Amino acid sequence: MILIIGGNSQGKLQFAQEMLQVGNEMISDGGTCQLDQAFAKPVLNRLHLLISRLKQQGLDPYSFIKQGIENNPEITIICDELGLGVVPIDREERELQELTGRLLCDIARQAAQVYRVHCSIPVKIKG
Amino acid sequence: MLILVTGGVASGKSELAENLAVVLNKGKMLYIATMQVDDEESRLRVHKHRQMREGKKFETMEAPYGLSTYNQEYFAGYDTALLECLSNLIANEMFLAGKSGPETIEEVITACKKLTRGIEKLIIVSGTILGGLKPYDDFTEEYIRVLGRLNCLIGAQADVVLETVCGIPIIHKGKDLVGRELA
Repeated sequence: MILIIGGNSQGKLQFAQEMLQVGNEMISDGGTCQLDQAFAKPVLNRLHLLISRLKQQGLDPYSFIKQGIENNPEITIICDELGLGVVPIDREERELQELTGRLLCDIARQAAQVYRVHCSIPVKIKG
Repeated sequence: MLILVTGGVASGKSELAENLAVVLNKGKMLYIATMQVDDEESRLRVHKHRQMREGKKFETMEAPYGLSTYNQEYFAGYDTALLECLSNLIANEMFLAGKSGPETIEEVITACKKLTRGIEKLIIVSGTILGGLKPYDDFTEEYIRVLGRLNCLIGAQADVVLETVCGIPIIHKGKDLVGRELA
């Protein structure tokens, strides 16, 4: 599994596409995909939106995502580093920021490679 | 030795800083806790952090603000201290103690000087706010500025500056001092 993180609009998706040589049809979008299809493609983009949607539906994002990775150990996951922003006043948003951060720590531990993309430049921070 | 550990929310900075303190420590260890407990959420957070620290042999001191006013003796006899965390301390100075931005910066710098005078190894945990597009209220904007400024001031003085990203330590300064400990 490969994890690609960074702030928003830093070029994470473009980097993933170039590195893996994959077109749009190989990418699921965590913000819009059917929940049961989230891990069906080689790349899962916008994991933070998937986490938010799972949470809204009353599902446990932690076990859902862990299971998804377990079943698809070769997947590449792309996620915004929400933790770089201000702690939100809204409780739900605060929980989402915290949960996303913890999940990313967990995913990074499992990942073979972790890249952080900053202003279009990927820096390999693990692997 | 002064070590600054920065990172975003839930990026694993506390765990990293605590483990680093334990590895570097050669005597007594002090944990300076800055969280003001006033609701269920903060109680849970404190509880979680206490559990994480269990068995690591820290002596805990609670100082939500006004750290510079403590007598120097409070910080004597420790080899290593962990200040957890600067982002909380700044928020408390500004919102609870009602200090202005510049007053907060002066307070924290004075406190840091006092701490480094008495303690061999000081590890300061701090947050990183790299902004966003959302315009915040003046208070929050000032908080972000003060946090950034203090991170810069402390980072410039520090022997080691680390950033945690998804639990992975990135060494921005002082690789020769902690590279082995973090490997």
